[in-house]
Amino acid sequence: MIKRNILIEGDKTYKDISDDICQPLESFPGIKWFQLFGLAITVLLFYVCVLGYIAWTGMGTMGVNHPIGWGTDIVTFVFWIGIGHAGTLISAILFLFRQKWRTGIARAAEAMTVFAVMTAGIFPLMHTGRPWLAYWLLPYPNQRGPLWVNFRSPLLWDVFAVSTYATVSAVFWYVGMIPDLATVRDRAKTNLRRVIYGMFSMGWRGTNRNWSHYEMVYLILAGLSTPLVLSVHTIVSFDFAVATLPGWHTTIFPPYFVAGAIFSGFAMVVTLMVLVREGFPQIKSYITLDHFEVMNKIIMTTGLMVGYAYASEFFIAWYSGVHYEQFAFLNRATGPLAWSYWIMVSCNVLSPQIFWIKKFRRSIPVMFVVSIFVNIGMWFERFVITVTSLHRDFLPVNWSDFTFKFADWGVLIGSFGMFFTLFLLFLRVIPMVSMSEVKPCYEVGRKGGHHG
Amino acid sequence: MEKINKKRYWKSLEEFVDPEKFNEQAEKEFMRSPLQEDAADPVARRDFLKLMGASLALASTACVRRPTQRIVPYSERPHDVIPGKANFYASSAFDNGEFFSTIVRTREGRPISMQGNSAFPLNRSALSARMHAHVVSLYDPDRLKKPRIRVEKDKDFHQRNWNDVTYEKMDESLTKVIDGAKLGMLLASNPSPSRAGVVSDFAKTFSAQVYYDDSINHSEVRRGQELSYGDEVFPQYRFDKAKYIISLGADFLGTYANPTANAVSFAKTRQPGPDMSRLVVFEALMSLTGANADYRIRVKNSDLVKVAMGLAHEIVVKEGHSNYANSDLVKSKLKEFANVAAELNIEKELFSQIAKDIWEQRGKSLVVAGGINAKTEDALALQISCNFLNTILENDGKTVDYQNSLQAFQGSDADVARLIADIESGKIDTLLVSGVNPVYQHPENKKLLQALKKVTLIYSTMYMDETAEMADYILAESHPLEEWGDAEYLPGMYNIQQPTIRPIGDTRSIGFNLMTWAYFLEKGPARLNELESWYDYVRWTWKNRLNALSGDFERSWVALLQAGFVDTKESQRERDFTARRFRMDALSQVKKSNTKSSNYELSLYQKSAIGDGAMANMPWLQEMPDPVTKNTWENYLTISYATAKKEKLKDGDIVSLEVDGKKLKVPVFVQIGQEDSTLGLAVGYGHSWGKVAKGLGVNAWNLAKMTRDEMVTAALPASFTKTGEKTQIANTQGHHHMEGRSIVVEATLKDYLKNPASGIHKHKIFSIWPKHEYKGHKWGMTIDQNACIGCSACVVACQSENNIPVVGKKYVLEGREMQWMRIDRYYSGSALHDDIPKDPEVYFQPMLCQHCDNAPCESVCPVLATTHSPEGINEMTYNRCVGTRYCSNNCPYKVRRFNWFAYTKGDRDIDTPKEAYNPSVTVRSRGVMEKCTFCVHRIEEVKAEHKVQGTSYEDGDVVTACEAACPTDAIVFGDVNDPNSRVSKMQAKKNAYKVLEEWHAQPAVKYLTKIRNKDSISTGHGGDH
Repeated sequence: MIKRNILIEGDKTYKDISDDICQPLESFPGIKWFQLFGLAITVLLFYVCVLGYIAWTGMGTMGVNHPIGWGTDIVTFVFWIGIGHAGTLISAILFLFRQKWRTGIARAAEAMTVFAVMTAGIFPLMHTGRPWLAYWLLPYPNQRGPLWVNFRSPLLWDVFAVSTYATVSAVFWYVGMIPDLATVRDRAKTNLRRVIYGMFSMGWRGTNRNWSHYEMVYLILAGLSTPLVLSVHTIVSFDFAVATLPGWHTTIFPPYFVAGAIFSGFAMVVTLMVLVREGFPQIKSYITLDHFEVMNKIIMTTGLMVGYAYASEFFIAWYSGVHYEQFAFLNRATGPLAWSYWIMVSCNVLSPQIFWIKKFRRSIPVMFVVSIFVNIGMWFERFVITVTSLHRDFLPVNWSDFTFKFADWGVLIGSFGMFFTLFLLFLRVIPMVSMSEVKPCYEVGRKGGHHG
Repeated sequence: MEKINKKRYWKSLEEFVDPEKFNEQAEKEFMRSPLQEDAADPVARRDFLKLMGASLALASTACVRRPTQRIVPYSERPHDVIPGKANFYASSAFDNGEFFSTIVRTREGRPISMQGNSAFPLNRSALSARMHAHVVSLYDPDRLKKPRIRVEKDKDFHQRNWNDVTYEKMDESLTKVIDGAKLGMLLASNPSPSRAGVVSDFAKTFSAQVYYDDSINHSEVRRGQELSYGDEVFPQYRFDKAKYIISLGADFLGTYANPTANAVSFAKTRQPGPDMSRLVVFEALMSLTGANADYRIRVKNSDLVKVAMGLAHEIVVKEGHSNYANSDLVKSKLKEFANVAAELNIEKELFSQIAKDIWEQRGKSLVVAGGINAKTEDALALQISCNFLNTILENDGKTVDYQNSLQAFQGSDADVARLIADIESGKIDTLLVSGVNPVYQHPENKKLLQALKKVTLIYSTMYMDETAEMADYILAESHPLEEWGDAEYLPGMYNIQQPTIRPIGDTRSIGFNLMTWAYFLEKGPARLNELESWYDYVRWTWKNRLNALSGDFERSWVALLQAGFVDTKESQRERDFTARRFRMDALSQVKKSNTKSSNYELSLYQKSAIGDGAMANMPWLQEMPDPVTKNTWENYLTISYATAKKEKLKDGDIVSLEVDGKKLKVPVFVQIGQEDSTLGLAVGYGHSWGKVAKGLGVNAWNLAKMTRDEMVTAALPASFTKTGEKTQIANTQGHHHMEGRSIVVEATLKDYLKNPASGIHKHKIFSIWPKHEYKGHKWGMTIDQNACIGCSACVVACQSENNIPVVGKKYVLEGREMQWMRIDRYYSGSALHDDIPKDPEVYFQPMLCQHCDNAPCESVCPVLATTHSPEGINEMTYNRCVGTRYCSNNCPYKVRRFNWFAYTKGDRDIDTPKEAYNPSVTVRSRGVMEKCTFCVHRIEEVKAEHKVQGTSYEDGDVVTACEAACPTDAIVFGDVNDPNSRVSKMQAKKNAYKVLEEWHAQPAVKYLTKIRNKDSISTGHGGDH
């Protein structure tokens, strides 16, 4: 039998583990946290202002034009939805596959998922011409006829896919944290804390019945989430694949999008975990270099998968014999927006190749830089798909260029403000590592551990 | 002394140290003390008290019952006005030499749009783009609403009413000026008999001198006719009778003479078939006419005379044809033009072939020359050589109809010169100007500007324009839609202009003003004093003429109003006339100029939307993409591609253009197909007035040259230097090449005659789904790309009909123009690979919503805002649209337009005035998608009418706005389910195809192939797979 590496470093008791993980919740934040939080919330406020400006003045404030009907909003939406894939993948799919290493990063990754989906959800609303009427996309009984939505439209499927995913991943995340919230409640030194955490831990007592029900619910939710991880980005890809536009109308999109989503999701987890380890050094025992190595392997693998997808798109375009299709792809690589294509290729396909070397796979600075590159590359992947396909399509008279305007930068940067505000709050109010899950794994890789 | 001894009281140290400064500051901090106010202006306080007292007194004395004002409910509506139902009035309009018989549509008493009078033979149902914008100019907020008077020289104007009670009446002031003055009148020529009558009555009475100056004078045509044939006419060119047309720089389809009527008659000969005419254009700039040529040959404007004489040489000397073949005089004259083709780098065989072909077609050919872009110093010589060529070819009297000549373009630069001389010599001290804007149009003519300063200037105008700034009296003029008028554009063709609304402001027509002044001064013939209104004068003018027709004036008058026109010489219109004798001594004017000018020569030209610039304040016209360049909102220096490469210039680079020491800074635009040493600059821009027009482009008239009292606008020696500055030109189409795609399908006539489907790439398409079924109507459209000349009148007509907003230059640059109908323009040759052809062929493709059966937009809308009607129309429900723009992304034709902002709020200078909106069409709010509706409101109106009347639909009952506007009948709309409808018959033609057919969206619009009448074989491929 292969000897397993230990999952939790250092010589710790269960109390040490609880102390380590609850420390951020139970101590007053330091100046650095406040600085970061101050920055994040300022950007968030800026974001709110930009969104208000767009809604008040009109979509014309953004770079979208005729014929490029979708721009930064949709690109950034798909970007954040993609980020939101890693968390549920780690906590649900890896749970089903009994991958114990997932326990250290699952909670934070899931938090990232929930926040990323929340961030993403704003964009489809805000990109409409009349965002105050965006609720018309929901099929609900109404007095307009009743007038129903168009079930043939992929945009509607998108509404269902994203909202289902948001709900299930939030529930899954919350259910998983109930035992931990109870631990925080039990450790609470003030009444207020006890009441708040007591409410959210829903009367958890840690009894056998509690555990038995909990494990069952968690398993079921994991089972439910698993297909959603695959379906949500599949359906997001339908927004493009079902359209008739060359460059969009591609059958490879569902697996290609899912692979890309996992790719960018893991990259974001790496980015965040590197930062979390810097901020909370005790967490280094739980989120170890081994974790990073595994994630970097996944990044490299999915990076190769998207690279394969890029190549096969070109092959199919040539093989199809359709002039418009061929032109669309040639234009991506050589047209006026080719810079975005080559940013995408170098960030997504070339930069992860460095992980073939073990030394770099385990190097924090290297992986941090690569993970940022991957996130940049994945934003541009969506940009390439959305904008470069639209900017030169069938009739050459329609061809135009895309320019980023203030509102484009505003929503892109602002959305990070929203995400980081939420994430920084998360670090201070919810145990960032699942105590109830890491404690049973303490023995893994150690002498006397029954798994050897 | 007193001051020193005085005890000082102070409140603060500041006051103690410097009391004056303190007081000053205290004043500033708070309100000015009334005491100080009084000190500064002792009158102010007393004035205030006086006014208060006076108003109190007035208020108490006026304390009587309010005057009775009766209001009338709309239920007792004016006769024949039904709310929600349009009324149509026949009228006519005259614009810059171009004449239209029109039908004005009014709703609830407001004119909202115009179209041509389809019974009228010249323009039929078509109007120019400018005429469609005519209605908006009626409601233009910049229009003068009241007359103005300059009380003191060089001071501001005072606004008055015509019937003022507080001041001296405007008319009294004016009559004082006029009475006894040495009066001159500078007028635009006008085909109106009543206008001519009142002007001559007035001029005789007050012994006034009359000068005619059109904004764009074509006096060289009349002069050329006079020298060549002895009669000074502006002939009517009969393109419909011609089988072979040669244009020497004349943009007769776009801007020259009477372009809309020219297009109507030109299209008649362009049906593909053995009788299809051929158009050969020699020109320097790429004009609309050149874009439609079968053969387009680039020559400098200064070489046009050589081309004409060269062709004459080929025919007369080389081939030995015509009556002049034995004339030694002619031979010796033509000798120096023996090697024109070689000198001008024209393909020799082609040149000879043209000469041979046109001789073959003698009597059925036509040579046309002229326009401001050809008005070189040799303009007269060009006209004479063109006349000579027509005489050689026996066209005179046949295709050159000198009997039914155009009663327009009487204006001349010579008249302007005469006016200057008369002012200088003191013959004129008071000048009445109407219809022209001389200060704007003659900035180069310093003498004129100086002369105008010397006279008392009375200016009748609609705008506070350049000339108005110099005037002493400004007579706010009525819009033609507000006033009676008439025309006799062709001799014996009587047209009436009915007003369709009361004057909106306190405005008058010039005719009524002349009558009024004569009445006040009690001078002149009885009609000037006894007739009460301009209407009466118009009727008086027609009394004799109409009585001569039927004897019953009232009946004929009503008939004239109803029909809009009466043709009293109908039999004369179509017949041929005997050729006039060509006066050989005219040829002495034609000399071969060998002056080698500088590297570049500048030619001014007109854009078909802006023209002379009188309507530059119309945002619709500013935003109409120029048919050839596709640019909007400004003018620019067009240069050829080779020149751009040589001088390292790109679109939008600003150069400093120098002509004869006069400099202008202007951006360049690279125009493919332009002659390499020619520069082009459009007139009509650079106004100093108007919320819209002000500051757009530069005034190109500045660069015109006065030579022997004639304005020269072409072949001006020019040079330019780069300034290093850059701007962006608002272009609506950034890419000009079809990239090898089968979008506009073309074939040469030779191929077409062999196989009408030539060039069409057929796809074998199958579908697993059954076809859509349409019971009842199935609306469809056919667009004949062979007929379409790209004039873009339909674009503005659609804008007018469908309340389409204007977005402005900034947003055109961002690709957000809103026009539902657009004319796509392609050049042949590959642009991707940097081998831009010197002589590209130009293709126009009107593009609008294709109303696909399998509409890709419909399936992707998440809220069902765009749906398919049972009659095959792709409908847009604005109320339901949330604006995801998915439909636009999925539209292969990209014909949907999104409201990026609230364009219709009416708070921008470029917004369409609300009065000009069509009440039948929804005004869209921001955030919704919009597009062509196939004029569904017109369809529904017709269907409702049939239902009420119990009749059934007949082909042609529904005419879409674009269809009506098309001068060449390129657009045909109708019911495809009716196999006998025009649209069905056209769709069944072998040369009909669908754009992007292979995408299987099944569009309801079919296009007919573009046929070029060439001897060669098409490059396009046919067949299917």
